[in-house]
Amino acid sequence: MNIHKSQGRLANSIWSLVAVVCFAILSAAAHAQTPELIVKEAWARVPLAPQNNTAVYMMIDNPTATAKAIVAVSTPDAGSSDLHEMRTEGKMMKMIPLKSLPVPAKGSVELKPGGFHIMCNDLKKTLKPGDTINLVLKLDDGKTIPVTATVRALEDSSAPASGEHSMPMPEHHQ
Amino acid sequence: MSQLRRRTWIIAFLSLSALLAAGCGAGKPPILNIGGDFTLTDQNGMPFQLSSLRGNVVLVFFGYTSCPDACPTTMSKLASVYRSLGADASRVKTLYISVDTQRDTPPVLKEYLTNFKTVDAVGLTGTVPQIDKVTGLFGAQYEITPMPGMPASHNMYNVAHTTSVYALDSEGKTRFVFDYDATVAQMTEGIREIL
Repeated sequence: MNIHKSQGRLANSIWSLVAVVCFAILSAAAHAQTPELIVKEAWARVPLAPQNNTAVYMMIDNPTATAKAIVAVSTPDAGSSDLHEMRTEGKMMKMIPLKSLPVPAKGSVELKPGGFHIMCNDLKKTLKPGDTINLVLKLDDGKTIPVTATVRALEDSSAPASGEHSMPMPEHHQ
Repeated sequence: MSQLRRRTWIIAFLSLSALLAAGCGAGKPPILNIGGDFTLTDQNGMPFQLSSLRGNVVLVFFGYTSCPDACPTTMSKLASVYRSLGADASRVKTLYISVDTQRDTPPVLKEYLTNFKTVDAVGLTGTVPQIDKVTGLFGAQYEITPMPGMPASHNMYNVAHTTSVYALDSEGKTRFVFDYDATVAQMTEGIREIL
């Protein structure tokens, strides 16, 4: 009788353990399918000679229920990389350095001409259309997101903040 | 009697002429009370006077070549405007006036403008008083601010500036101020009105 009872307890314990393990596995899987932030369409304007800088743009989605913020950007391809916002104040457009760029929960933020951008100064390699710039976004929770931005030719990068697109004819480069 | 008839004809002719003149001018946008002639130094280091471009529509833009966002976007947009204008683009000149007198020397301006071959542009620079005089003529503004964390010796600073494009008619009179958000279609249409 006691043997049956202890066998039953053992079975219950095993089933409980199995349930806990399954729950943990499913939770981990669900977590893996909901990444911190999703970066799409990252691109950079081809550097304009004789300058050795460029701006990087992208769309950042936050599928989680937690508000996030990008607090730093690093890149091996430039001497420095900083978060900026172009803001019109009075008659002037100013470039404002940002300490962090919020990405709302279940929302997104777009880095685009005339708005937010990542400024890359002192580029360490010659960039032409089709080349890439590697960056790492650091979040306020300490996590990091690698990003690869594709360099676009001038004719592809002329869409202003109003959302208008350039004509398809190419701008000629030297 | 014949004198009276002649006078009547003269008055009628003058009235008709006045009406025609008024009618022809009605389609043009009003002349804005900004602008005026000026002399600066072009990308070849030569003196350049605005009045030398009489007969052309002139687009005036204030910027600086280190600008990472607003200036390339506007110059790319102007390239699209030139393409939209087709053959009429040959009568449109652009003045890229640098408000960064320290870094934007004539050779720098010359190389920068090679990025925008579709835009028939003259790069202009000058002394600070000369640039201030021209920005004052158009009511444009600029402001140089240090880049955070950068020592002055690095020669790196930001330049806030007006991003409007001023459109001057063939007489050098300012007819339009296109804001930064003006579309290619809006700018093309405006320029066609004053060509």
